[in-house]
Formats: sequence, C-alpha cells, structure tokens
Amino acid sequence: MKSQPLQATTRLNHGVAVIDLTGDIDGGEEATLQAAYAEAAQHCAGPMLLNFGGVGYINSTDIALIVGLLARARTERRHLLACGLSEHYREIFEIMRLSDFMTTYADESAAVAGADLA
Amino acid sequence: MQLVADVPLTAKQTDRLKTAVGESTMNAIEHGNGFQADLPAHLAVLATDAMLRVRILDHGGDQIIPAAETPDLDAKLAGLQSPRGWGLFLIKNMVDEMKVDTDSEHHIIELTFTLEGAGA
Repeated sequence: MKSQPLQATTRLNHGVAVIDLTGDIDGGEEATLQAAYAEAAQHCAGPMLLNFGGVGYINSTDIALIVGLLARARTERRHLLACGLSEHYREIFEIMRLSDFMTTYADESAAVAGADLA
Repeated sequence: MQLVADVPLTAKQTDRLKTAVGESTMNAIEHGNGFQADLPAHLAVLATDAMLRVRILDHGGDQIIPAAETPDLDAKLAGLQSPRGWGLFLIKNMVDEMKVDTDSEHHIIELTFTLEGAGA
C-alpha cells in the first residue's frame, strides 16, 4: 500500500475554520498539521473543523498527532470538530475517547450546522 | 490483503484487520527490530472455517513488552503523558483475541478474528 503525501488546506465556512486533509497522515507530518492549524486559526477565533474526507489511512501515530492538535485547541479554548471519517475511523475515535473531546460529524454541512449551535 | 482474499471477512473485519496488522507490523519494525533493514518482520496467516489468525514476528525477544493498558487521554491532553502510546490498545480493540509471546530472540503477536457464523 503506497501512501499519498498529506496535504492540508484551510478556509472559512460560516464562522468555522476548516482544515481539509487529503492523502495519508504520516507520523512525520506533524509540522504540516501544526502549520495548517496555525493558518486556520487566522481565519477566525471560533470552532475549527478537521475534514478527513480525503484521508485514506490513519494509524496510531497519526492519532497521536491529532491528540496534539486537540491539546492545543483546548489550551486555546477552541472547539475542535471532525468530519468525513469513515465508519471504521469513527469507531476508533470512540474507542480512543477522542469523540469525548472532539465532536464528529458525518460531513461538513452537519458540522457547520452543529458548530452554529455550540 | 491478497493472502486473505478467500477468507469470508465482513467489511468491518477487513477494516479492523488492516488496522491491527498495520499497527502490529509497524510495532515490529520500530520497536522489535529497531528499524534495522536487515531484520525483517515476518507475517504468517492461518485460516480455518472458524477463524483467521495472523502472527507477526520480530527480533525483539529480549525486550519487555508492556501490557495493552488503556491510554489516559486526559493526561495526554494535559501534556502529562506523551500523545503516543496507542498501538497495543488499538490492536487489542480491533481483534477478537490478541496474544503476545516471546522467546530469547523473537517477539510474536498473534491476532485472531472469529469468522461470522463460526461456532453458531
């Protein structure tokens, strides 16, 4: 299985800073993720959405990177949301209790609607 | 995945198998073999009508393997623990049975999946 390099782009959607992730998160992609977070944070002070819709494979090292982002968001009192996860990875987020700290939505529109209610 | 192409896994089991074997192999390469290119990690697949078993062997038999404890996410988020350390916990939650064994040279992790309908 050949991995695809991770790409992260940011944008604003109705007050939610979105980070679109595509490719495979690799344990060595911490700088990419942290840079994307910093860029997304410039869009607004509100919630931030990690859109995993373009991500093919997530392993435990990748989850550690996500935990790092979540810790940063909590320090900054910013809600971190997630969408676009397959059923398998939604289950993993629940097993690892990430879902206790980061609400997961099926897609971006649901996440933006949910974030508006927060 | 070609090795298990004929094994009647459900879609959910296939996803879990990919994650469990991927994590175990990554552990074998990183922790067991210390990223030494001349030390391969070995995979063996055994299948019956009732179960699928995958064994991953590395050369870390002299190392102490910690139990698959539940990671403390609160401590990780508070910066009191490394954000890493999810591998064994994740593997254990992906399979029906996980066994870890060592001899003087090797470390072996054995992952078992019960096939749907087996034992009914």
